[in-house]
Formats: sequence, structure tokens, C-alpha cells
Amino acid sequence: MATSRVSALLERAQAGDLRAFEELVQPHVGRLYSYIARMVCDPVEAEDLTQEVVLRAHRAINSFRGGATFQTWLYRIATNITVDAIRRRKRHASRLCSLDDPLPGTDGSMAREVPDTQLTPAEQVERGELCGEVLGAIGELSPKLRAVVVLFDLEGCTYEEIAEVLRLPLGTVKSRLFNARARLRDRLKPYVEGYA
Amino acid sequence: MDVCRQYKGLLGAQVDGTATAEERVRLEGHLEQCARCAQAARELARTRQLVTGLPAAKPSPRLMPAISARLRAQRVSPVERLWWRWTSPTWLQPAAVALILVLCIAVTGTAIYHAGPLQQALNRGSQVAQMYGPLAPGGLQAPGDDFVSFAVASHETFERDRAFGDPGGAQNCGYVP
Repeated sequence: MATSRVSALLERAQAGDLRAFEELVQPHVGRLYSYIARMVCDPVEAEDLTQEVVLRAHRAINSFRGGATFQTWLYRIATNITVDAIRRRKRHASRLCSLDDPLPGTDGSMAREVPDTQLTPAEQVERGELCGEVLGAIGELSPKLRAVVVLFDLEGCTYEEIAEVLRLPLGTVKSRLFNARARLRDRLKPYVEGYA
Repeated sequence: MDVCRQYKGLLGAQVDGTATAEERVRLEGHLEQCARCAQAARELARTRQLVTGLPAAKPSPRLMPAISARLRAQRVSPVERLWWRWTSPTWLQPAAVALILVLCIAVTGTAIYHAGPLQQALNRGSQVAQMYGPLAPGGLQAPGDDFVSFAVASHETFERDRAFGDPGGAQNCGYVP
């Protein structure tokens, strides 16, 4: 979306125009959901939290000053809400999102989207197990390490964007990312060791 | 090992794909000589590959309609809108700092104002204590032994005299033997 268009929508949204706010936020909902889903490892909770993030953003739209990009601002709200939710749960065992689990739906369940259709069934099973392991490993990271790795590796954010979202110095972002990777490597040893 | 530590940042940048050409050359030079770091580089790169290879998490088609419905149900009052505007950090933080400074100055000033007469009385009590010497074994031997209570009493007398318009009374309340 062009910057001038975003500015116009933002101005209208800050004046209380709900349609303008929806138009402004709609392009970001998919990425917000993706980020939150990887953070909480629970598709149902991720949808609830995504709704909460958008509602919070709507209430606080007048506090957005344009210093950060709108997406960065949304990610910041999402991080706060998600980390709070993770801490609230206080679960000792991480929850895995199995790719075999159907997505919830009021009119019956929907199959989860797995993009690679070139694999044989055996490969798909193996891949599903591997994804489960990787998601489990991410879920075992502390929220602060998890946020950095999800934003960088899965959401494609730059160091600078992550620093702005998490309000951290650039060096801290880099070192957290390195530490997160080192922990994931240790956790995923059987899939990583001896890889050339 | 210390040498390897110097390359940790470069290793991270290499895995993240943010290393410059010059940094890559430097790191490659080290990796050729250090099998341990070369192994770590391969494993970290593979770890990243596993993470980035995860399938995208996509929301159900019901998410956006659900958000729209909740947005319509949520009414943001003009007062709340103003609250968010006012509590945005552009002017709130300097204002909070200024308020804290004013409070500190006020509290310190009040403490100094009230401490003056009491300090004078304490000093006087201390002088008396010096005249009579330290506390002797067996209890109070002289007025100066308990010079703090004496000083407080002196201060009260001072205040009372001042209240009766007798500033000179302060000279007489010193319990001078």
C-alpha cells in the first residue's frame, strides 16, 4: 500500500472512521496471525490473540505517531499480548501444533495447508514429524528468544525492525538470535548433526 | 578458543545472511583452519534451514469477519480516544520527569525548613553533653547524658517561645547550668 494512502487511512482511522481502520489493518492480519501462531503454537489461541491485537490497536490508534511503520507497531502490540498470554499459561510442557490436526471450524474442520505437494506420502509423514519437532523446539525457547527467531526466520523482519518491535539495541537482537539458534541446534541435534 | 570467540558475531551474520563480502572472506579464512567452527557454521545453517522450512501458518477465512464483528461491537468513547492521545509517549515522559523533579524539590525544601530549629537544639544538647561528659555506669548522671531528649525538649521550648512572640526565649531554653 502506498505511503500516502496509508497516511490518509491513518488520519481517517484516528478520527474514528472504522472502515478506514479495517482497510488499514487488513493487509497485516495474515502476518500477525502467522507470528502469533508460531509464538503460542496453538492455532485456536492464535486466532483469539490476533483479534485481541487488532482490537487493542483500534483502541490505541491515536497513540500511533508514525515514528515506526504501522506493521512494526502492530507487531509490538502482538508481542506484548502474546508474551503476556504465554506467561499466563505457565505451562511446563510446550504444546506442539501437529500438521495433522485439523483447523477448528463451525461448519466442520478444515485441512491444514501444507504447501509442498511434490512429496510422496512417506516423505510427507517424515516431513510432518520433522515440522512437529522444529515447532516443539521453538516452543521450548523462552518468549524473548522465540520472538526474535520467529520474527527473523519466519516473518522476514530485519535486525532493525526487530530492534524497533522489541525495543532492544541492535547488538542484543543479534546475540539473542545467535543464542536462539544455538539452543535450537542443541534441541534438534539428531536432524542437524553431521549435516554437510 | 579466544580466537574463535572473535568470529562468533561473523558466524551469526553468515548464518543470518547479513555478512558483507569482506566479512565472509574473513570468516572463510578462519573456517578453513578451525574444524570446530566450520562444524558449528554448518549446524547453525542447517538449523536455520529447518526453521525457515516450516509451512506458513495461515488463518482461517473466518478470522477477518470475526475481527470486523468485534470491531463494530467495540465502541471507543471520545474520552478513551483522548486518553490514548494524551498517554502517548511524545509528551508524557518529559512531563513525568518534570513532575518528579518538582516533587523532589518540594520535599527537600520542606525537610530543610523543618530541620533547621531542631538541628540547632540538637547541637545545643550536644554541647551540654560534652560539658558533662559521657554517660556514667549506673544510669543518668547529668542532663547532658540524655542529650537527644533534652534537645527535643529544647526545640519544643524554642517553638513555644517563638509562638508567644519571644524569639529571645530561645536563648533561655538551652538548659544551661
